[in-house]
Amino acid sequence: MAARREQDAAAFSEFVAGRSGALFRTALLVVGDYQLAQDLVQESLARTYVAWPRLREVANAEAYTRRVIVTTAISWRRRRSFHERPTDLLPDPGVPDGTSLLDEHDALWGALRSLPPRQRAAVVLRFCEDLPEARTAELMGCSVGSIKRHTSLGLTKLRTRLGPTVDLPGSPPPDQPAVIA
Amino acid sequence: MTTSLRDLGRRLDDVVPPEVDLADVVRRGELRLRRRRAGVVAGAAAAVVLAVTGAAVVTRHDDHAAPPVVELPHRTDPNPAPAPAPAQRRLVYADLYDGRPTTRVHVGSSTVDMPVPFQWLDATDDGAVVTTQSGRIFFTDGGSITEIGTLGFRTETYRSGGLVRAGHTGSLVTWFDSSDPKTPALVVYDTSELRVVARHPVPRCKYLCSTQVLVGGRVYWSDSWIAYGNTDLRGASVFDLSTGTDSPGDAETLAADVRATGRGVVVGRTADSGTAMLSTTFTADHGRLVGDQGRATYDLATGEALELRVPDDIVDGAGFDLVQWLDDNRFVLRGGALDGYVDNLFVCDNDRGTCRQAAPSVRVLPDGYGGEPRRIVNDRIVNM
Repeated sequence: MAARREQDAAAFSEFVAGRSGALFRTALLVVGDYQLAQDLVQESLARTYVAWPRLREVANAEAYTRRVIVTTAISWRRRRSFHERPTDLLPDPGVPDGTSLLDEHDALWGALRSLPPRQRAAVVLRFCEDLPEARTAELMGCSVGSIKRHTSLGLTKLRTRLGPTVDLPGSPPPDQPAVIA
Repeated sequence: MTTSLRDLGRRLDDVVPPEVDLADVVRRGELRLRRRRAGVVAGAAAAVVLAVTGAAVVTRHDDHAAPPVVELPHRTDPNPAPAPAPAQRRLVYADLYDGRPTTRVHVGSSTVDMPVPFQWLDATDDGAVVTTQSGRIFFTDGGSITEIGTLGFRTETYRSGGLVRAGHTGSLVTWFDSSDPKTPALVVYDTSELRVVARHPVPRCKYLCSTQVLVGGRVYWSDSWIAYGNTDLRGASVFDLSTGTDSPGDAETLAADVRATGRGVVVGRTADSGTAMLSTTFTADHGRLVGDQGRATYDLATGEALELRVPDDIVDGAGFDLVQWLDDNRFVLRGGALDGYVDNLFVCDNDRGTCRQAAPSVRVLPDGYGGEPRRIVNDRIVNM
């Protein structure tokens, strides 16, 4: 029993070390905030720890954790009104959080962050993570039809906000120069 | 220059992920496991006590001085309920026959018998909160039962309920604890962590104040002993959990708070200009739901007009109240008949555009009246 427990602990540690980077990337995409993404990964891994005896396989654990990340992220927009208060004064930023690699004025990043949680999750999972509709639906815990709807609504909002400067799925191709025979 | 969503995803590959604090992950996980084990062990112990002492246990439960306890639930589902997916609330309801207190509460697919009859019911993301006539407050996650607090007085005179309020999303529930008349306090409890997260003394509530609405981390309350819910917020105060302070509240601040949660409906001309609400009423018209007094109703999360079909056997003019939110996309309607005495429950799915019956009204004739006993869902939610 004790040996089994030690094996589980070692396997879980290995899973965290090996997959937390990829899981963080998903978290960052769906919540759009470095600190929140960090909290989200910690919390999701804690849930995975609880479920570990029935998951064990890394593939199972990763799929489970990713689903927790996505569904929790969708709910966190509501909880943020409890945990966070808007303020006029920004706190000392301290150490750069890594998202400085994304231009702060990146219009696409800003527009994505402004989408409602489910639309943002559907868009980033489909087109940033390149997941098929069925897999996206599985992660978000809804139907493929819902994914189509959220994706369509999200892309429409992005197009409205960003115009033709951004290449979005389903957008008409940019004007081609006339071909002279 | 054009960018694409795929480019954005690739650029995120260069973002250095933070180190995972494995010790913190394990600590949080062990905390969850301990909570789960505590419920199972205490439940098994209580089974023995109940089998031996029977009614004596119930009698003791009417004692105000009893400390919080964990009791054995009776479950019709022999398998442990799987942890619900985050952000998805289970359908919670109870049947009150002829308005009499009951012991049985439905939490998703589980049925739990509480140790004491209760008359009021609320739902959180984690399960059901019930309040007894003696003012005791219990929580069940569909498995174990925990006594989480007390109102400090008997509730028989408060027939409309509404003394305990839970949010339409999240794990918070709130009430006024008047067990010590010298230090009445507004209590906010978290059913996911099984602990009081705020105890806010309000000396002027010596003779009972009422909680009205809990939305996000903000509790609307009033000096009145009559629980108005959110139908009358005149003179309301708002206790903000994040700051620990009170401020004035009214219908406008409530609408803003509802918008901040991202879950609810908007009633008005447009999704942007209308009033954000936790609940509303509908009427059936040719197999579709129309908003209260014909007003347009929008989904707060998407801004899209609600277009929902009801089952074929629903007659035109049947009324419905929105009484619970299960997640951003699904909510529960109560009603479905021309009179107000049939309380069928329907779960509506915005994405699918349909409402299906989830629990039929109980068909048992009470003595003498010839009517139907009502399936009471949740007074607090009905009063939203």
